[in-house]
Amino acid sequence: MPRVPHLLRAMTPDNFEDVEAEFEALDDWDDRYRVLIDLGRALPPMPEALKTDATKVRGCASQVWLYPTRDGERLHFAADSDAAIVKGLVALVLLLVQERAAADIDPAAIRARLDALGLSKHLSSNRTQGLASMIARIGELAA
Amino acid sequence: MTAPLNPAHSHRANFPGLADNWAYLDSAATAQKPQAVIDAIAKGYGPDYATVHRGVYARSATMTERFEAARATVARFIGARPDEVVFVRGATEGINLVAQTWGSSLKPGDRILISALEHHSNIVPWQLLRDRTGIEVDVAPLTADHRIDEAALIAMLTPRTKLVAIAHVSNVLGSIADIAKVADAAHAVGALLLVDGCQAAPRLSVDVAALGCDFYVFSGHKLYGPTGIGVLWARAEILNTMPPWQGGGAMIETVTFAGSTYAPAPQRFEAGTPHIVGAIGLAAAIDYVEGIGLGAIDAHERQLAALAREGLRRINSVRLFGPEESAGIVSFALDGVHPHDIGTILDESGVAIRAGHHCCQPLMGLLGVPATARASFAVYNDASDVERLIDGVKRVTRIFG
Repeated sequence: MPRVPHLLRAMTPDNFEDVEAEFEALDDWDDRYRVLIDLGRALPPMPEALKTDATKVRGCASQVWLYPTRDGERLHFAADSDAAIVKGLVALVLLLVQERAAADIDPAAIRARLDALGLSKHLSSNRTQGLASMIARIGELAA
Repeated sequence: MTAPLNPAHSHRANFPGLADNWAYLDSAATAQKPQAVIDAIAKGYGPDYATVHRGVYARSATMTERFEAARATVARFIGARPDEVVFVRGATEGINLVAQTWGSSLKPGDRILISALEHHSNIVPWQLLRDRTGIEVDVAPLTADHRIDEAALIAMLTPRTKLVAIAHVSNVLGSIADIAKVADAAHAVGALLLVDGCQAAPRLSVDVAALGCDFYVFSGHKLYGPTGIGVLWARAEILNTMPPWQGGGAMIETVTFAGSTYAPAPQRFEAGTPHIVGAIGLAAAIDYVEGIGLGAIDAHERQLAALAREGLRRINSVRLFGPEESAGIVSFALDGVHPHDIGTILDESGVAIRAGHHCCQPLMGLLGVPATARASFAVYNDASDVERLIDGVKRVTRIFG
């Protein structure tokens, strides 16, 4: 069974490529879910105090929180979800945006890379739930 | 898992929305539509279409007859008179209508009694009324197995209680309230009884006279009918004293700039061009369920719910909510797994359930969970759907194990 917390030691797009390779190597979606769940579990904990109505991204069944900070051009995000698979997806998105310059963040590209992993087909409910709103919010922040 | 099922399981073929290999277990949110309803809607918007009540041509007269026949069908379905049946958008609008019209006569200090398992639609309209008029809203507790505690509810009635408003069948737990018993007790203190029948109308034979309630509301789309149409039934002597709600066409008798007089009920509460085809589609849905028989549908769903509970109970980490004896709705949780994750993996397995608070946040607090997973059954489900649910939940436990 894959264990991937090391992928999150540095939040960089290179590590997103590692996830892509891992997904490629696995032939079973159940194992891919385990990768996602592990990714989520490895996400640095978000301080409870930051989980407020203001940081909550609207979704129905699961909750997503996103707390952005800015250091010059670079964006930093603390994020969490109460659902494990969603949290894994949140971690995946953060791989693409964490500590990046706002000008380099493109929500459409994020969606495309998630789609390329087969996530929109296999995790269809997330098209309309918190994750989509989270990507949209990141896009607004970077704009 | 081969318990005998009544012939109701063969009805799946009547539902074009049910793709092969899709276990649709979210009918408590909204039911799939039988071909008969889809055909009635197509005919209504096609060869039969015209406005109602105002046209001076044959097509409109025919449509008016069909629309009023739909009202008569609804009335017969719940043992009421047609002039007691108000078409609304859904149960939510029906409850808001009562709160805003009948409720406007309440005085500060008057009380409304609801239960802890109510849907937000049967909580928030009363809170809005409380904010406008200074009434109090009391909440009756549940039993240990998550039914409305009727004895406790009855003990909470006071001479200032003007209305009891409860669900006939819980949308989360499937528990069934003893409406007749609550009606007697409410009337004994001079209170009226409003019943949210959303989850009862699709599975229980409803007779408002036998239930003894004063208001009964339900939505068409949970009863295999169209969205955007629902029913408020109110006892005639109450409905006739209620002031108008929305003003506009169709609800008036005469209009001058000095003032207007209003049509008698139910038209007084149906301002504007009504959802004509919705009403016709709802009548077709009622014909459909009556053709099968509510008793057969209820027995079929209870069997499936019992099978589901039995299968889920064998999975160690499953927590089941609600009473053993419940209408076709089963809520559950898995230790350490968010219901959203359960729903996501089940979707992968071709099983559609609801995961969330089901518009019952206070109830979730009582159950001690932020959300539940809910499987709800309908006439088109069968034992293979239950099997896929159980297999899917086992898959969840393997992935999260």
